[in-house]
Amino acid sequence: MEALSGIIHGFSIALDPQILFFCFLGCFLGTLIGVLPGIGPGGALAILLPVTFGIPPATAIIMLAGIYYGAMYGGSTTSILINIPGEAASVITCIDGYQMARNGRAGPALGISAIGSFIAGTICVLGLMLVAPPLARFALKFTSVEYVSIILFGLTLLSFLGSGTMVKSLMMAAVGLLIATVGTDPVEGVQRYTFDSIYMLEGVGLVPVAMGLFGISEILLNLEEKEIPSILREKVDHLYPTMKDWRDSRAPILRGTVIGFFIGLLPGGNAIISSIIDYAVEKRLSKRPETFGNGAIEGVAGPESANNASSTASFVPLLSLGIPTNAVMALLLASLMIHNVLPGPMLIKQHPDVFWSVIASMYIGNIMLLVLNLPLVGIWARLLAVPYYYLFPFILLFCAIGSYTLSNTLFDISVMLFFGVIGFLLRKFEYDPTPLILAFVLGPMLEDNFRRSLTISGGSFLVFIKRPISAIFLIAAFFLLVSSITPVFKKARDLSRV
Amino acid sequence: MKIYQIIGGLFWLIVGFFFCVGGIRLGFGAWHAPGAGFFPMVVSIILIILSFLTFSNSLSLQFEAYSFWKHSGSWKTVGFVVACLLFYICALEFLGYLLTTFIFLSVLLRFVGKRGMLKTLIISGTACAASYYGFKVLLMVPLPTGILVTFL
Repeated sequence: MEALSGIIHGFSIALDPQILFFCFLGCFLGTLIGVLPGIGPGGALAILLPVTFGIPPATAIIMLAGIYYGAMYGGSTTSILINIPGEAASVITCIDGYQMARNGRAGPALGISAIGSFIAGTICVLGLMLVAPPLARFALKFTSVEYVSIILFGLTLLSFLGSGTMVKSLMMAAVGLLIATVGTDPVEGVQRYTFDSIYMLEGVGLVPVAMGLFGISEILLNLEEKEIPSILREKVDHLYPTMKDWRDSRAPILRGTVIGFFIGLLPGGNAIISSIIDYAVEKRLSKRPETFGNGAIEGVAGPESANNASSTASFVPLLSLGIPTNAVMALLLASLMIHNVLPGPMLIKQHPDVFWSVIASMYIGNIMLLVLNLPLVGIWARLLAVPYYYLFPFILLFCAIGSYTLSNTLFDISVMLFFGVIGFLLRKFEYDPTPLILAFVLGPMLEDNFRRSLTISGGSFLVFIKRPISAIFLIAAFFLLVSSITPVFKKARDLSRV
Repeated sequence: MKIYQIIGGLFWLIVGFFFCVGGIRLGFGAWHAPGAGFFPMVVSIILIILSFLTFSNSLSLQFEAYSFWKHSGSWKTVGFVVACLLFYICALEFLGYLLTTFIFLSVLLRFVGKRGMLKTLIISGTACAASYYGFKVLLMVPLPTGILVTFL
């Protein structure tokens, strides 16, 4: 009943014309970002974060969330048409989607991708609506001890599942935690690593760091590439799947939804992993596994549903526990905090408007995206003809002005450029920047809870294993650490990356 | 790749030591009352251990051919774009938003985008005016006026 009354309340807010406009804007920008190779949802969110400062928190998060799941929808277009994923989570769609396009079936591939995304997205919003409130009520029992263990588990799992080696990912998490300590110590009021600069008294800003690590570094990496190959010069028609396509796709769509939802709940369990796992499952279950890689529609329907399901499910830990599970969620957390809305167990109680309107907007957003991605797919496909060399100066300009507007000083643009170069070097040296940004966001929460736990326990570390929930998370984190050096697990982990 | 692994390991080792020394100076406090330097010290020790592991592992790696840049001339493009951003930072408050942005966009479109002069000037001028109107007039962002202060 609580969920029903909540969602009705949410719709009463989300159907406001202004909110509908921002929801549409988010979905539109998300699709655009998904379609255009060269900038992912993380970079786009970092760039657009300052734009949301002047609008109410619910509207801001609705727009930013729309960008995220819109990018998941749009990402498949380039994967299918030119064999280049518009964003990382669509990389697996290239395998069969592009083959379908080469076989003259670009239309059905794009169609099933949009329909699968819609079904998965809508079912998972329902899951989010039903799972998040009880989880938040359960989390009310958590003390600082449990929060320390959950954050440590989250960072370990993210490092385990990350794209680099586990040691390198853990190093990035440590660097993120250290950068988060820069500024004034909240307990003693002492300046830490500020070099007596007044600009650093409040620490390093998340927005310029994220813009640098995800926006600028991505542009620098793209500038190394030669021209993006031209679009498949073929008319995109027959978007709606045939009865046979539908029969072949309905089970993969449902399996992708379930797999994506559960992976999305895990810290580090991002959309890429869910689509890779789902592809492997579909191939294993298929009666015609030899068609995979040659244009099997199941190879498009399943992974595309999984990556959308995962992106929606990742809102569950953010909204109910206040813990982001990936870099995009970290930016959404930052956006809420900027608006003085603290996600976590108290969010539903203190800000029911924000919580329920965001969920209601996701239903609306999914319908908007279906409309944007099915009848208008031809327009999105034509956009691929815009050369990257036209786009990047404007993305750079937007990053620079976005950083400048934070405090109207050149310091934030300098921080953005510094972290842009650092991000570029990190990727070149095969370090994954995702654990860094996540640890940077979670750092103050971890430090605060860690110090508080030790103070309450009189300096005893045993408190972390005396409490059962905390002990479970720490044992799980320990298991992950050990498994990463055990050959059998190491092999399985490497295989999951292929 | 070996040499880059060594450089990476060493770099983070130095970063770890820097934060560790800073943590000691800030004060560790006591176990039951951790000080301002407690958390950075604990994390930096973890970073030092992990960096040392990376560094020592990289020493045992075989030397293999690895090109840092994807293509022979790509360093010039990346370096040029970074230099343009540096110029933007240095010139923004002195020249003002309009002039700096116009130069920034023109240079990137002309030399990296390899567009014709007329096309470059038209696109840069239009984008400059449109973004100024959007940020300054519509969003009321206080953009620096610089040397054009008397005209704006």
